[in-house]
Amino acid sequence: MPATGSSQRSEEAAAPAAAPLAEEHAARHARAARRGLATILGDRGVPGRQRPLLTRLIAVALLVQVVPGLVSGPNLLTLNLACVYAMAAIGLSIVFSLGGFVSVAQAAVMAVGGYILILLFGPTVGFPVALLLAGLGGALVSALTGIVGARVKSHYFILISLALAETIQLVITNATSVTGGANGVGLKAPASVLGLDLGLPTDYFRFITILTFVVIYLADSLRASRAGLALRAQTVDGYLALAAGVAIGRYRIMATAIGGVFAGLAGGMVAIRDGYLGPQNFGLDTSILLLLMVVIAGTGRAGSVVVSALILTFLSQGLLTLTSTGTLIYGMGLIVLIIFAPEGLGGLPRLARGALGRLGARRAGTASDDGGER
Amino acid sequence: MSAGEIGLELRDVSVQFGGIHAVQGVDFSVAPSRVHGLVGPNGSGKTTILNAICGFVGSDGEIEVGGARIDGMGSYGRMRRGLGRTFQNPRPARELTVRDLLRIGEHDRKAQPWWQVALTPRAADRALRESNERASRLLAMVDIGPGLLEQQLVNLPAGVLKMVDIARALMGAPRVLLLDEPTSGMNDVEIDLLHAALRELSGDSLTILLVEHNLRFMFDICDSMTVLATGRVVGHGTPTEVFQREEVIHAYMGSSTASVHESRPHPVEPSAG
Ligand SMILES: Nc1ncnc2c1ncn2[C@@H]1O[C@H](COP(=O)(O)OP(=O)(O)OP(=O)(O)O)[C@@H](O)[C@H]1O
Ligand SMILES: [Mg+2]
Repeated sequence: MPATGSSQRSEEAAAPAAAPLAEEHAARHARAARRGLATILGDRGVPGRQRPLLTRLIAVALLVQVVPGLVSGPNLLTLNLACVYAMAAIGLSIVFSLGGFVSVAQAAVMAVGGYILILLFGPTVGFPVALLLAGLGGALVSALTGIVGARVKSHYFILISLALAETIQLVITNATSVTGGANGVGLKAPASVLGLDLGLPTDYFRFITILTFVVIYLADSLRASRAGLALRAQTVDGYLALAAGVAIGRYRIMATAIGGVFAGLAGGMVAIRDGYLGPQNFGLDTSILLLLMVVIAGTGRAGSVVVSALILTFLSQGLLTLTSTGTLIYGMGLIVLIIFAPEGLGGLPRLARGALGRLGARRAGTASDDGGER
Repeated sequence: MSAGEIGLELRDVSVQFGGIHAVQGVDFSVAPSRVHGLVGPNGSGKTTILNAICGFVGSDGEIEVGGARIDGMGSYGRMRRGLGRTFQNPRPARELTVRDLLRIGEHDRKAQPWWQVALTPRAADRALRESNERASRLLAMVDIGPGLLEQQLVNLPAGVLKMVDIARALMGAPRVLLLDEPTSGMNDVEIDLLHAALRELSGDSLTILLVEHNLRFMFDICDSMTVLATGRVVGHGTPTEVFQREEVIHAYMGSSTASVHESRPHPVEPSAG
């Protein structure tokens, strides 16, 4: 008897199971083809597979070599800030699109990482250790929101995250003896790692690029893994996830923790970039900027978050600091983007394909009832 | 424990929604490797019973899978005990492809820590390839080619979506499968394919609880049946017995008794298994 229900026996199942249905098969394939279902014939290798590590490494090496020669001065500083924000935004996109939480606390989580690094790093604690602890601190604080958030309705989460953000700001401003309060606190020693002097914007760029790629790689790995899929299932349809035996709460907390690691690292890198931290580095405006980066990137891959982080960081740094006209352009630009790319930057290729498909169909003189349909 | 010993039993199961008794004192048991039908008019509590078995809604009474009590467990624990289920209206999510859905179905069958993908991409690729093969095999059983794996769920015709949802449930290698109106939205060819597939599966020691309005389908495939009306059991028996009992016909069909008998195409055949 052919078997497909249990894994151990399904090996020998395929052929005998299909045999008595052979005629049906042919008929159905013909029907499916007519309905446009069998558009992609055969299996395309292993999808969901990551871009090979080698390509990524080459990309990092190129960036690290070429960019510091091309970009300099304030632009390089902004580029470095964009990378920091990209890391935090990738973390937030995990919290948002995999965890299903809308958080306005990501900058506060960065603050935790930042202060951990700036307070610990010194003659006794080395930079790598301090940075790791910054990531860990970010994970713990962020997971805390997840633990509370997994118990409440999703729209209450934004309030919880707001409360956390405000609490952290209050602690930073009031624990003057530790954090320096509103005056801030300075880095105790110059940081260097892998032979790079992080006090130099060029070397800082090299290191943050490597770090950002590690974060992208980890985020993409999470997304491609079964855990990432379980998280996606959970945001799409809670009952589907339950039916698949997903321990939903546990996974959502994990998502907030991982998102917090990246924010903690980013916060630590802010401290290194500026050599100084104050509560104003991590205000609500920063959290909202990060949220915008995630929303504008769409729920796509980490790569598109980086693109939107670059665009928004330069826009916000360039336009906001200049004039009130700049602010207006910034705001209008965002509105235009949201209207014309409702799925964010990540959705643009698909929108373009749909538009091209419709165009092609019109050219061919056929009704485009399934061309750009969704 | 061999898979052949796994059955399903409900004892005095009740579900209330804010004082309304959607399901009241329901008892039935399904022998291992058998197909048990659950029929009843709209709103009689069939889906609610499946939800109670899965732990999607709170219930009173006892529920056993393979002789072990599962009531009191969360959904997560119950699914790990070998339960699988499909949905009456699977959600045609645009965010997911067929492959995604099938991999989700596999979730509790194979643990995979997320960092495995980062640190040992080869092992992750191998796992993915295995799951692709398994998915293709399951889809082939209902004559869906592997090309469909890349499709977004939203692009699937209703019947194919139902079929894919069944394959999703089977990816978890369940020992007890709960099917909620699998044939709704399917055309005749698809229904025949499903029929053949379910026969194979129950022959392979899968216990099936089947909720279905298509009585001809039920008559052909069920070993035993329970009839519900307004949340209560009004009859048990083999399909032949059930369809001959007046109170059952009345509860289920109102006055149109004829259609049951007209739609009986074959004599009842004992199930392999
Ligand atoms: N979550 C819920 N909250 C409140 N009432 C519910 C809920 N789920 C089901 N009910 C009610 O319980 C009763 C049984 O519904 P159920 O969906 O189980 O019926 P069914 O037999 O599956 O019907 P159908 O054949 O239409 O699918 C109905 O009166 C329904 O309105
Ligand atoms: Mg129902």
